[in-house]
Amino acid sequence: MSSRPEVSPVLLVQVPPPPPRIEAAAAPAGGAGPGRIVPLWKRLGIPFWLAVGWIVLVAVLAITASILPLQNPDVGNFSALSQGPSAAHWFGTDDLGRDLMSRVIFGSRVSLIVGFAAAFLGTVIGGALGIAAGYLRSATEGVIMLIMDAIISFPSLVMLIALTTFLGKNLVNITGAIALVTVPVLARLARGSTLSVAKRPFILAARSAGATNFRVMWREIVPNVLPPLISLGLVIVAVAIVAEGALSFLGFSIPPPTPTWGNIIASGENDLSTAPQIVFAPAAVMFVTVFAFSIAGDRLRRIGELQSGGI
Amino acid sequence: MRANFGRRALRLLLVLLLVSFATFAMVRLLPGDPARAFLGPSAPESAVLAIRRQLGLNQALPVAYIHWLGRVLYGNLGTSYQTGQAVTQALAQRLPISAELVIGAELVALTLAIPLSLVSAYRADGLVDRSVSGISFATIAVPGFVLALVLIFIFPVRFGLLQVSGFTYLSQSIPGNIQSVTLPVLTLALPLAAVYTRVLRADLVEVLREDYIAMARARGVPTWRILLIHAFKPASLSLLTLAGLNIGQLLSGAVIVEQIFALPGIGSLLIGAILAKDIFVLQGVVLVITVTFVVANLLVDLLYSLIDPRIRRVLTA
Repeated sequence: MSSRPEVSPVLLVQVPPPPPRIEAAAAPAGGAGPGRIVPLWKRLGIPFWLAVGWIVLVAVLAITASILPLQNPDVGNFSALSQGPSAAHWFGTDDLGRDLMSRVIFGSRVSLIVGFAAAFLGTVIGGALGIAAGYLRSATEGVIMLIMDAIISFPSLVMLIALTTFLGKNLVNITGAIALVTVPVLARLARGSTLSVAKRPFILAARSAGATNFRVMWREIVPNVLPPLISLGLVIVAVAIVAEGALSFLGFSIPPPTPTWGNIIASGENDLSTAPQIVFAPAAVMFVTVFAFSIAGDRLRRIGELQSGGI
Repeated sequence: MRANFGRRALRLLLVLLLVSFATFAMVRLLPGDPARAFLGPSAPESAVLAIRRQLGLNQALPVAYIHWLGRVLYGNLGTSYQTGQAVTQALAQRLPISAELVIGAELVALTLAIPLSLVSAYRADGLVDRSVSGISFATIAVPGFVLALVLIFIFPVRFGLLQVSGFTYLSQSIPGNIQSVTLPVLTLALPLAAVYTRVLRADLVEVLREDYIAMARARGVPTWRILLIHAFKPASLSLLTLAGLNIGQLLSGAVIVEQIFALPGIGSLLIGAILAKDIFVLQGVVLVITVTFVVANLLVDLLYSLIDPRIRRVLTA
């Protein structure tokens, strides 16, 4: 046994641990030692910037798709059915001879719009509810958190399928439904952060100076709760993209012929042995995108934890 | 402790009521008439009215809900208007399959996660730790339905293993059943194992920094004993929470997996019920999933106090 654990210098009496939460994931392992001040962009590390680079790339391709020299995603070439990757078709073609790269790029539009819009809505609504619950306490908190608990206990896939089926499978409904199921997660985080911020002296100072509840929440609490909320928000973008993909795969999102990552994957399910590129081209792009959002969110969260821990 | 538990149980009961009312309201308030859709546009008005009455659509929403709730308390979940089958019977047929997936996934995930996190935490930031953490982080980012297709591609398509046609019940043949559930269980278990590994490893690393671990080491307690006995128990609390809470989530996650692998679990029942607005079937499935979620929550709380005497003391004080 050569490596010994760090022994804390003082024998502290153990206090009962706070009830473990789901969010209580990996604690920062290393911890930046004292010394030179490393600029923020450098502390975020190479993986973070690679992830951001990928997200920017996918976003730019999605925005400029119609002016890029891509083949028409909806028109098949019947002399090139289910072909593997080649110089003419970098990702290969599907069973109707449509260019998969073009379809994946056009398909990213739905995923990105739904991902960003749902995460943004969820963060704004969840953040507002969580801050209100954590700052106002009493009955407001009770009612808000009870509703959040109910939404969390409700099987989310059922809600998504039901809402999109009954209300119509369009971008607005899908985004709204996904935002709704992400609200409780963000509200819980916002409430937790608010509870700890609200104890700090500057809140008391603001209140003694006669600030209204709204002003305290907006000017004092929001800026402090925003950083952790944004890093979770990035992870939520990934969750929303996966949710849209799953809905789309099951046929409960934007229907074909409009390409989405999920419906391209579904269209290749039966040709897995003969034309695996139909499934794996969109699946790989989707995986890297989801991974990139998770890395970006995770890195930001760790930096935030180190900073707030260092005060 | 008892008061605390009672308060939590009450709150969860309230959550259950809210959820079941929301399901009811959702089916009622969203557009579309299930009776007309089921019978077709040419069916006589009287037949449509009969189905509407059977579904309670002729009553006001709160009245219909109270009626349903009253019957549920007597164990009557209603019947499906499409098949005429009792909802309890449909659930009894399909739930064992979904339950098998969930339990199998939890077992596989824990079997993978516990040794991996012990090895990782033993040499935190070592080579093994870094690779395990990288792989688990990537695994979490794979959407469930993509993972299912990857597994299908690797096993049946490339290597001709685990080819499955139709579902074999556990009562028919044990090896046959294992063959039918292996890939679905793996699909659910791999991301779960990744999450568990991350959580347990983080907690283990914290616990291994405690003074009593150094003390045990100084006394010459063997490493395996320190890891398994001294460190594992206090570090397992978050894992326990997650494993408990996940049971409910897994049950609804199983819906997609059942769809891909064509398993006759609650997933297809659920999707069929939503499409046809078969309200009692939908209510039945949602009820099962939320009750599981809520009960798992309560059990986790109870287990906490069994595992950690400090919590027991705080709660009773």
